Amino acid sequence: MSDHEEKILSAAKGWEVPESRSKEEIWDALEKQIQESDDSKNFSRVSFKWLVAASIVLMAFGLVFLLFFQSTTVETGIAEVRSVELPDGSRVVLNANSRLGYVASSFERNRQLDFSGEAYFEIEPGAAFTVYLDGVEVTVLGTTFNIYARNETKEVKCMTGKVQVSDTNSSVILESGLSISTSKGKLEEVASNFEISNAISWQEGKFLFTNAPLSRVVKELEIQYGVTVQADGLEGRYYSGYFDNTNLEKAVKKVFSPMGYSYEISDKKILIK
Amino acid sequence: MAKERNIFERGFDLESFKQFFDDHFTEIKNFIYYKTSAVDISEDLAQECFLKVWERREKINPETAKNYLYTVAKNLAVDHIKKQKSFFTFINKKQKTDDGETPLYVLEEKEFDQQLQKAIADLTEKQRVVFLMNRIDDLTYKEIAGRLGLSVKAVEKRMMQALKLLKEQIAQKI
Repeated sequence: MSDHEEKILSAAKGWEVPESRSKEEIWDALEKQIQESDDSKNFSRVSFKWLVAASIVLMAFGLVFLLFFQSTTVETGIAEVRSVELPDGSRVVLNANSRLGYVASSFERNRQLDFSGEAYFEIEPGAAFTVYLDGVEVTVLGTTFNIYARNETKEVKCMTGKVQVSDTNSSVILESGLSISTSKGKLEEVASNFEISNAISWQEGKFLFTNAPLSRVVKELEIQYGVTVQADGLEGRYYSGYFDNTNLEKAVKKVFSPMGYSYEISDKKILIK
Repeated sequence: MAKERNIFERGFDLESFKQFFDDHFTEIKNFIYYKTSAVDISEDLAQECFLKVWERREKINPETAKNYLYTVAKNLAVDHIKKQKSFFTFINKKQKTDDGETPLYVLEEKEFDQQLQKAIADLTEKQRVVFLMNRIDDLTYKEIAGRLGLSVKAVEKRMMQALKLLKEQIAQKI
Protein backbone atom coordinates (compact mmCIF):
# COMPACT_ATOMS: atom_id res chain seq x y z
CA MET A 1 0.00 0.00 0.00
CA SER A 2 1.53 3.29 -1.10
CA ASP A 3 1.84 6.39 1.03
CA HIS A 4 -0.66 8.06 -1.16
CA GLU A 5 -3.21 5.35 -0.81
CA GLU A 6 -2.68 5.27 2.93
CA LYS A 7 -3.25 9.03 3.09
CA ILE A 8 -6.44 8.90 1.05
CA LEU A 9 -7.90 6.09 3.09
CA SER A 10 -7.09 7.63 6.44
CA ALA A 11 -8.22 11.11 5.44
CA ALA A 12 -11.64 9.87 4.41
CA LYS A 13 -11.90 7.80 7.56
CA GLY A 14 -11.73 10.96 9.64
CA TRP A 15 -14.72 12.55 7.93
CA GLU A 16 -18.33 12.81 8.71
CA VAL A 17 -21.28 14.01 6.70
CA PRO A 18 -22.36 17.54 7.59
CA GLU A 19 -25.78 17.92 9.13
CA SER A 20 -28.49 20.56 9.13
CA ARG A 21 -30.59 18.78 11.72
CA SER A 22 -29.22 16.66 14.53
CA LYS A 23 -30.11 13.01 14.87
CA GLU A 24 -32.12 13.87 18.01
CA GLU A 25 -34.10 16.53 16.21
CA ILE A 26 -34.89 14.12 13.42
CA TRP A 27 -35.97 11.43 15.90
CA ASP A 28 -38.28 13.93 17.58
CA ALA A 29 -39.79 14.85 14.23
CA LEU A 30 -40.14 11.18 13.32
CA GLU A 31 -41.76 10.33 16.64
CA LYS A 32 -44.30 13.06 16.04
CA GLN A 33 -45.08 11.67 12.58
CA ILE A 34 -45.43 8.21 14.09
CA GLN A 35 -47.92 9.44 16.63
CA GLU A 36 -49.88 11.34 14.01
CA SER A 37 -50.02 8.38 11.66
CA ASP A 38 -51.03 6.07 14.54
CA ASP A 39 -53.63 8.55 15.72
CA SER A 40 -55.14 8.87 12.28
CA LYS A 41 -55.11 5.08 11.94
CA ASN A 42 -56.80 4.66 15.29
CA PHE A 43 -59.21 7.40 14.44
CA SER A 44 -60.16 5.77 11.19
CA ARG A 45 -60.48 2.39 12.92
CA VAL A 46 -62.68 3.87 15.61
CA SER A 47 -64.77 5.81 13.14
CA PHE A 48 -65.12 2.71 10.97
CA LYS A 49 -66.36 0.79 14.00
CA TRP A 50 -68.75 3.59 14.77
CA LEU A 51 -69.87 3.67 11.19
CA VAL A 52 -70.63 -0.03 11.25
CA ALA A 53 -72.40 0.28 14.61
CA ALA A 54 -74.35 3.29 13.44
CA SER A 55 -75.47 1.62 10.25
CA ILE A 56 -76.59 -1.50 12.13
CA VAL A 57 -78.62 0.65 14.51
CA LEU A 58 -79.99 2.58 11.57
CA MET A 59 -80.95 -0.59 9.74
CA ALA A 60 -82.62 -1.95 12.87
CA PHE A 61 -84.57 1.26 13.23
CA GLY A 62 -85.44 1.16 9.57
CA LEU A 63 -86.69 -2.39 9.90
CA VAL A 64 -88.78 -1.57 12.96
CA PHE A 65 -90.04 1.52 11.19
CA LEU A 66 -90.95 -0.51 8.15
CA LEU A 67 -92.67 -3.21 10.18
CA PHE A 68 -94.36 -0.70 12.39
CA PHE A 69 -95.50 1.80 9.84
CA GLN A 70 -95.85 -0.44 6.87
CA SER A 71 -99.25 -0.01 5.49
CA THR A 72 -101.48 -2.94 4.73
CA THR A 73 -103.15 -2.84 1.38
CA VAL A 74 -106.18 -4.83 0.40
CA GLU A 75 -107.01 -4.86 -3.26
CA THR A 76 -109.78 -6.57 -5.17
CA GLY A 77 -109.62 -7.48 -8.82
CA ILE A 78 -112.19 -7.85 -11.53
CA ALA A 79 -115.45 -9.40 -10.31
CA GLU A 80 -114.05 -9.85 -6.82
CA VAL A 81 -115.95 -8.96 -3.67
CA ARG A 82 -114.08 -9.35 -0.44
CA SER A 83 -114.88 -8.74 3.21
CA VAL A 84 -112.05 -7.39 5.35
CA GLU A 85 -111.94 -7.13 9.10
CA LEU A 86 -109.89 -4.18 10.32
CA PRO A 87 -107.71 -4.32 13.48
CA ASP A 88 -110.40 -2.46 15.49
CA GLY A 89 -113.07 -4.99 14.55
CA SER A 90 -114.71 -2.83 11.91
CA ARG A 91 -115.70 -4.61 8.74
CA VAL A 92 -115.29 -3.43 5.19
CA VAL A 93 -116.78 -5.18 2.20
CA LEU A 94 -114.87 -4.25 -0.91
CA ASN A 95 -116.51 -4.33 -4.31
CA ALA A 96 -114.45 -5.28 -7.38
CA ASN A 97 -111.48 -3.13 -8.44
CA SER A 98 -111.18 -1.41 -5.09
CA ARG A 99 -108.26 -0.64 -2.91
CA LEU A 100 -107.93 -0.13 0.83
CA GLY A 101 -104.81 0.94 2.71
CA TYR A 102 -104.09 1.34 6.42
CA VAL A 103 -101.29 1.06 8.97
CA ALA A 104 -102.14 -2.04 10.97
CA SER A 105 -99.78 -1.42 13.91
CA SER A 106 -101.30 1.93 14.87
CA PHE A 107 -104.77 1.41 13.52
CA GLU A 108 -106.58 1.06 16.83
CA ARG A 109 -105.21 4.41 18.02
CA ASN A 110 -105.45 6.04 14.65
CA ARG A 111 -108.33 4.81 12.58
CA GLN A 112 -107.43 6.05 9.12
CA LEU A 113 -107.92 4.45 5.77
CA ASP A 114 -106.98 5.34 2.25
CA PHE A 115 -109.60 4.18 -0.12
CA SER A 116 -110.70 4.12 -3.72
CA GLY A 117 -113.38 2.05 -5.36
CA GLU A 118 -116.59 0.98 -3.72
CA ALA A 119 -117.08 -0.46 -0.28
CA TYR A 120 -119.55 -0.92 2.45
CA PHE A 121 -118.36 -0.03 5.94
CA GLU A 122 -119.52 -1.30 9.31
CA ILE A 123 -117.62 0.74 11.85
CA GLU A 124 -117.16 -0.35 15.45
CA PRO A 125 -117.98 2.47 17.86
CA GLY A 126 -114.89 4.25 19.12
CA ALA A 127 -112.57 7.06 18.22
CA ALA A 128 -112.95 8.97 14.98
CA PHE A 129 -112.73 6.78 11.94
CA THR A 130 -111.62 8.56 8.80
CA VAL A 131 -111.63 7.40 5.23
CA TYR A 132 -109.55 9.41 2.77
CA LEU A 133 -110.82 9.51 -0.78
CA ASP A 134 -108.24 11.54 -2.65
CA GLY A 135 -109.33 14.99 -1.52
CA VAL A 136 -112.47 14.03 0.36
CA GLU A 137 -112.57 12.83 3.94
CA VAL A 138 -115.34 10.74 5.42
CA THR A 139 -115.30 10.82 9.21
CA VAL A 140 -117.57 8.66 11.33
CA LEU A 141 -117.92 7.61 14.92
CA GLY A 142 -119.73 4.33 14.67
CA THR A 143 -122.02 3.61 11.80
CA THR A 144 -122.54 1.81 8.55
CA PHE A 145 -122.17 3.48 5.21
CA ASN A 146 -121.32 2.85 1.62
CA ILE A 147 -118.65 4.67 -0.33
CA TYR A 148 -118.33 4.86 -4.07
CA ALA A 149 -115.08 6.54 -5.06
CA ARG A 150 -114.05 5.84 -8.62
CA ASN A 151 -112.28 8.38 -10.81
CA GLU A 152 -113.82 11.79 -10.23
CA THR A 153 -116.98 10.53 -8.60
CA LYS A 154 -117.17 10.20 -4.84
CA GLU A 155 -120.43 9.13 -3.31
CA VAL A 156 -121.21 8.42 0.32
CA LYS A 157 -124.43 6.79 1.45
CA CYS A 158 -125.08 6.69 5.16
CA MET A 159 -127.08 3.67 6.36
CA THR A 160 -127.04 4.15 10.12
CA GLY A 161 -125.64 6.76 12.48
CA LYS A 162 -123.95 9.88 11.18
CA VAL A 163 -121.15 10.47 8.73
CA GLN A 164 -119.19 13.64 8.21
CA VAL A 165 -117.97 14.22 4.68
CA SER A 166 -115.42 16.98 4.06
CA ASP A 167 -113.29 18.30 1.29
CA THR A 168 -110.92 21.24 1.46
CA ASN A 169 -113.74 23.74 1.21
CA SER A 170 -116.75 22.38 2.96
CA SER A 171 -118.08 19.79 5.32
CA VAL A 172 -121.45 18.01 5.41
CA ILE A 173 -122.93 15.78 8.07
CA LEU A 174 -124.97 12.96 6.61
CA GLU A 175 -127.65 11.26 8.58
CA SER A 176 -128.85 7.78 7.91
CA GLY A 177 -130.72 7.29 4.69
CA LEU A 178 -129.01 10.23 3.04
CA SER A 179 -126.26 10.31 0.48
CA ILE A 180 -123.87 12.85 -0.86
CA SER A 181 -121.72 12.89 -3.95
CA THR A 182 -118.94 14.97 -5.31
CA SER A 183 -117.93 15.35 -8.87
CA LYS A 184 -114.69 16.92 -9.97
CA GLY A 185 -113.70 17.70 -6.40
CA LYS A 186 -116.83 19.66 -5.51
CA LEU A 187 -119.09 18.45 -2.75
CA GLU A 188 -122.61 18.35 -3.95
CA GLU A 189 -125.33 17.49 -1.55
CA VAL A 190 -127.68 15.08 -3.19
CA ALA A 191 -129.53 14.31 -0.02
CA SER A 192 -131.67 11.89 -1.92
CA ASN A 193 -133.31 9.12 -0.09
CA PHE A 194 -132.24 5.70 -1.15
CA GLU A 195 -133.17 2.17 -0.41
CA ILE A 196 -130.51 0.77 1.88
CA SER A 197 -130.88 -2.75 0.56
CA ASN A 198 -130.43 -1.44 -2.98
CA ALA A 199 -127.35 0.56 -2.05
CA ILE A 200 -125.53 -2.45 -0.71
CA SER A 201 -126.96 -5.10 -2.99
CA TRP A 202 -123.62 -5.23 -4.83
CA GLN A 203 -122.45 -7.36 -1.93
CA GLU A 204 -124.75 -10.11 -3.16
CA GLY A 205 -123.69 -9.68 -6.74
CA LYS A 206 -126.70 -7.55 -7.66
CA PHE A 207 -126.11 -4.11 -9.02
CA LEU A 208 -129.04 -1.77 -8.64
CA PHE A 209 -129.21 1.67 -10.13
CA THR A 210 -131.68 4.43 -9.69
CA ASN A 211 -131.31 7.16 -12.23
CA ALA A 212 -127.57 6.50 -12.40
CA PRO A 213 -125.41 7.95 -15.19
CA LEU A 214 -125.09 5.25 -17.86
CA SER A 215 -121.32 5.67 -17.84
CA ARG A 216 -121.26 4.52 -14.23
CA VAL A 217 -123.36 1.46 -15.07
CA VAL A 218 -120.94 0.64 -17.92
CA LYS A 219 -118.01 0.96 -15.54
CA GLU A 220 -119.63 -1.46 -13.11
CA LEU A 221 -120.24 -3.94 -15.95
CA GLU A 222 -116.59 -3.67 -16.91
CA ILE A 223 -115.23 -4.36 -13.45
CA GLN A 224 -117.71 -7.10 -12.63
CA TYR A 225 -117.10 -9.05 -15.82
CA GLY A 226 -113.59 -7.93 -16.73
CA VAL A 227 -114.66 -6.69 -20.13
CA THR A 228 -114.18 -3.47 -22.05
CA VAL A 229 -117.21 -1.68 -23.33
CA GLN A 230 -116.92 0.46 -26.42
CA ALA A 231 -119.66 3.01 -26.60
CA ASP A 232 -120.14 6.60 -27.67
CA GLY A 233 -122.73 9.11 -26.68
CA LEU A 234 -123.48 7.83 -23.20
CA GLU A 235 -123.35 11.29 -21.70
CA GLY A 236 -126.68 12.59 -20.46
CA ARG A 237 -128.20 9.11 -20.37
CA TYR A 238 -129.39 7.73 -17.05
CA TYR A 239 -130.27 4.20 -16.14
CA SER A 240 -132.59 2.71 -13.61
CA GLY A 241 -132.57 -1.02 -13.22
CA TYR A 242 -130.20 -3.78 -12.27
CA PHE A 243 -127.94 -6.53 -13.49
CA ASP A 244 -126.19 -9.35 -11.69
CA ASN A 245 -122.82 -10.93 -12.03
CA THR A 246 -123.88 -14.39 -13.20
CA ASN A 247 -124.28 -13.99 -16.96
CA LEU A 248 -122.58 -11.38 -19.10
CA GLU A 249 -124.98 -11.50 -22.03
CA LYS A 250 -128.02 -11.23 -19.78
CA ALA A 251 -126.44 -8.33 -17.92
CA VAL A 252 -125.58 -6.46 -21.10
CA LYS A 253 -129.06 -7.06 -22.42
CA LYS A 254 -130.66 -5.85 -19.20
CA VAL A 255 -128.74 -2.60 -19.34
CA PHE A 256 -128.71 -1.70 -23.01
CA SER A 257 -131.91 -3.12 -24.55
CA PRO A 258 -134.30 -0.93 -22.54
CA MET A 259 -132.26 2.10 -23.55
CA GLY A 260 -132.57 1.36 -27.24
CA TYR A 261 -129.04 0.27 -27.92
CA SER A 262 -127.94 -2.82 -29.82
CA TYR A 263 -124.79 -4.65 -28.83
CA GLU A 264 -122.22 -7.15 -30.00
CA ILE A 265 -120.29 -9.32 -27.59
CA SER A 266 -117.05 -10.81 -28.81
CA ASP A 267 -114.80 -12.38 -26.22
CA LYS A 268 -113.99 -9.66 -23.71
CA LYS A 269 -115.18 -6.77 -25.85
CA ILE A 270 -118.60 -5.33 -26.06
CA LEU A 271 -119.52 -2.95 -28.83
CA ILE A 272 -122.52 -0.76 -28.23
CA LYS A 273 -124.32 0.82 -31.14
CA MET B 1 -32.16 -15.13 21.91
CA ALA B 2 -35.56 -15.32 23.50
CA LYS B 3 -35.90 -11.56 23.27
CA GLU B 4 -34.95 -11.46 19.60
CA ARG B 5 -37.54 -14.09 18.88
CA ASN B 6 -40.07 -12.02 20.67
CA ILE B 7 -39.29 -8.97 18.58
CA PHE B 8 -39.54 -11.09 15.49
CA GLU B 9 -42.98 -12.23 16.47
CA ARG B 10 -44.50 -8.90 17.33
CA GLY B 11 -42.51 -6.58 15.08
CA PHE B 12 -41.28 -3.22 16.32
CA ASP B 13 -42.64 -1.45 19.31
CA LEU B 14 -41.67 2.15 19.87
CA GLU B 15 -38.75 1.18 22.09
CA SER B 16 -37.21 -1.34 19.74
CA PHE B 17 -37.85 1.00 16.85
CA LYS B 18 -35.96 3.79 18.60
CA GLN B 19 -33.06 1.37 19.01
CA PHE B 20 -33.27 0.53 15.33
CA PHE B 21 -33.26 4.22 14.48
CA ASP B 22 -30.23 4.89 16.67
CA ASP B 23 -28.34 2.00 15.13
CA HIS B 24 -28.99 2.83 11.50
CA PHE B 25 -30.04 6.43 11.03
CA THR B 26 -26.62 7.89 10.37
CA GLU B 27 -25.56 5.25 7.88
CA ILE B 28 -28.83 5.61 5.94
CA LYS B 29 -28.63 9.38 5.93
CA ASN B 30 -25.00 9.16 4.80
CA PHE B 31 -25.88 6.62 2.12
CA ILE B 32 -28.42 9.02 0.66
CA TYR B 33 -25.96 11.87 0.92
CA TYR B 34 -23.35 9.90 -1.06
CA LYS B 35 -25.91 9.64 -3.81
CA THR B 36 -27.52 13.07 -3.73
CA SER B 37 -24.84 15.37 -2.26
CA ALA B 38 -27.61 17.33 -0.52
CA VAL B 39 -27.60 17.43 3.28
CA ASP B 40 -31.19 18.49 3.83
CA ILE B 41 -32.57 16.03 1.29
CA SER B 42 -30.61 13.16 2.77
CA GLU B 43 -31.95 13.95 6.23
CA ASP B 44 -35.53 14.29 5.04
CA LEU B 45 -35.41 11.11 3.00
CA ALA B 46 -33.74 9.15 5.80
CA GLN B 47 -36.54 10.24 8.11
CA GLU B 48 -39.05 9.15 5.50
CA CYS B 49 -37.36 5.74 5.21
CA PHE B 50 -37.81 5.15 8.92
CA LEU B 51 -41.41 6.28 8.82
CA LYS B 52 -42.06 3.75 6.06
CA VAL B 53 -40.50 0.99 8.13
CA TRP B 54 -42.70 2.00 11.07
CA GLU B 55 -45.83 2.04 8.96
CA ARG B 56 -45.07 -1.44 7.68
CA ARG B 57 -43.74 -2.72 10.99
CA GLU B 58 -46.34 -5.48 11.17
CA LYS B 59 -45.20 -6.90 7.86
CA ILE B 60 -41.47 -6.37 8.28
CA ASN B 61 -39.19 -8.77 10.04
CA PRO B 62 -36.98 -6.55 12.24
CA GLU B 63 -34.01 -8.71 11.34
CA THR B 64 -34.27 -7.78 7.69
CA ALA B 65 -35.63 -4.27 8.31
CA LYS B 66 -32.19 -2.84 7.68
CA ASN B 67 -32.15 -4.19 4.13
CA TYR B 68 -35.64 -2.83 3.58
CA LEU B 69 -34.36 0.53 4.79
CA TYR B 70 -31.70 0.53 2.08
CA THR B 71 -34.17 -0.49 -0.59
CA VAL B 72 -36.48 2.37 0.37
CA ALA B 73 -33.57 4.79 0.55
CA LYS B 74 -32.40 3.78 -2.91
CA ASN B 75 -35.85 4.30 -4.37
CA LEU B 76 -36.40 7.63 -2.66
CA ALA B 77 -32.95 8.93 -3.62
CA VAL B 78 -33.33 8.12 -7.32
CA ASP B 79 -35.31 11.28 -8.00
CA HIS B 80 -32.71 13.43 -6.30
CA ILE B 81 -29.54 12.19 -7.94
CA LYS B 82 -28.12 15.01 -9.98
CA LYS B 83 -27.11 14.45 -13.56
CA GLN B 84 -24.46 17.18 -13.44
CA LYS B 85 -21.33 16.98 -11.40
CA SER B 86 -22.11 17.53 -7.75
CA PHE B 87 -20.01 18.80 -4.87
CA PHE B 88 -19.46 16.92 -1.69
CA THR B 89 -18.45 18.43 1.58
CA PHE B 90 -17.27 16.43 4.53
CA ILE B 91 -16.29 17.61 7.96
CA ASN B 92 -13.00 16.55 9.41
CA LYS B 93 -13.83 15.22 12.85
CA LYS B 94 -10.39 16.17 14.18
CA GLN B 95 -10.59 19.76 13.04
CA LYS B 96 -14.16 20.27 14.10
CA THR B 97 -13.19 20.68 17.72
CA ASP B 98 -10.04 22.90 17.55
CA ASP B 99 -10.73 25.84 15.30
CA GLY B 100 -8.53 28.16 17.31
CA GLU B 101 -4.98 27.88 16.07
CA THR B 102 -4.28 26.55 12.63
CA PRO B 103 -0.82 25.19 12.45
CA LEU B 104 0.74 24.41 9.12
CA TYR B 105 -0.05 20.70 9.19
CA VAL B 106 -3.71 21.50 9.76
CA LEU B 107 -3.73 23.77 6.74
CA GLU B 108 -2.11 21.08 4.69
CA GLU B 109 -4.60 18.56 5.89
CA LYS B 110 -7.48 20.87 4.92
CA GLU B 111 -6.09 21.33 1.50
CA PHE B 112 -5.74 17.60 1.05
CA ASP B 113 -9.30 17.09 2.23
CA GLN B 114 -10.57 19.54 -0.33
CA GLN B 115 -8.65 17.87 -3.13
CA LEU B 116 -9.92 14.49 -2.06
CA GLN B 117 -13.51 15.74 -1.82
CA LYS B 118 -13.30 17.10 -5.36
CA ALA B 119 -11.89 13.79 -6.55
CA ILE B 120 -14.69 11.92 -4.81
CA ALA B 121 -17.20 13.97 -6.74
CA ASP B 122 -15.58 12.65 -9.92
CA LEU B 123 -16.17 9.03 -8.99
CA THR B 124 -19.16 7.20 -10.34
CA GLU B 125 -22.06 7.05 -7.90
CA LYS B 126 -21.52 3.32 -7.33
CA GLN B 127 -17.83 3.70 -6.61
CA ARG B 128 -18.40 6.66 -4.33
CA VAL B 129 -21.10 4.95 -2.30
CA VAL B 130 -18.96 1.88 -1.67
CA PHE B 131 -15.84 3.88 -0.90
CA LEU B 132 -17.53 6.19 1.59
CA MET B 133 -19.57 3.45 3.27
CA ASN B 134 -16.32 1.68 3.92
CA ARG B 135 -14.40 4.74 5.03
CA ILE B 136 -16.90 6.98 6.81
CA ASP B 137 -19.40 4.46 8.07
CA ASP B 138 -16.72 1.94 8.84
CA LEU B 139 -18.58 -0.93 7.21
CA THR B 140 -16.78 -4.05 6.05
CA TYR B 141 -17.06 -5.22 2.45
CA LYS B 142 -19.33 -7.99 3.65
CA GLU B 143 -21.59 -5.54 5.44
CA ILE B 144 -21.74 -3.26 2.42
CA ALA B 145 -22.49 -6.21 0.16
CA GLY B 146 -25.37 -7.21 2.44
CA ARG B 147 -26.83 -3.73 2.53
CA LEU B 148 -26.59 -3.09 -1.20
CA GLY B 149 -27.51 -6.60 -2.27
CA LEU B 150 -24.17 -7.12 -3.99
CA SER B 151 -21.53 -9.80 -3.82
CA VAL B 152 -18.47 -9.12 -1.72
CA LYS B 153 -16.46 -9.41 -4.93
CA ALA B 154 -18.41 -6.64 -6.56
CA VAL B 155 -17.90 -4.40 -3.55
CA GLU B 156 -14.18 -5.14 -3.61
CA LYS B 157 -14.02 -4.32 -7.27
CA ARG B 158 -15.76 -0.97 -6.83
CA MET B 159 -13.53 -0.12 -3.90
CA MET B 160 -10.43 -0.86 -5.97
CA GLN B 161 -11.71 1.22 -8.88
CA ALA B 162 -12.51 4.08 -6.52
CA LEU B 163 -9.11 4.02 -4.92
CA LYS B 164 -7.36 3.84 -8.27
CA LEU B 165 -9.23 6.85 -9.64
CA LEU B 166 -8.72 8.87 -6.46
CA LYS B 167 -4.99 8.18 -6.53
CA GLU B 168 -4.80 9.36 -10.12
CA GLN B 169 -6.70 12.57 -9.35
CA ILE B 170 -4.63 13.40 -6.30
CA ALA B 171 -1.38 12.60 -8.10
CA GLN B 172 -2.25 15.06 -10.84
CA LYS B 173 -2.81 17.81 -8.31
CA ILE B 174 0.43 17.28 -6.46
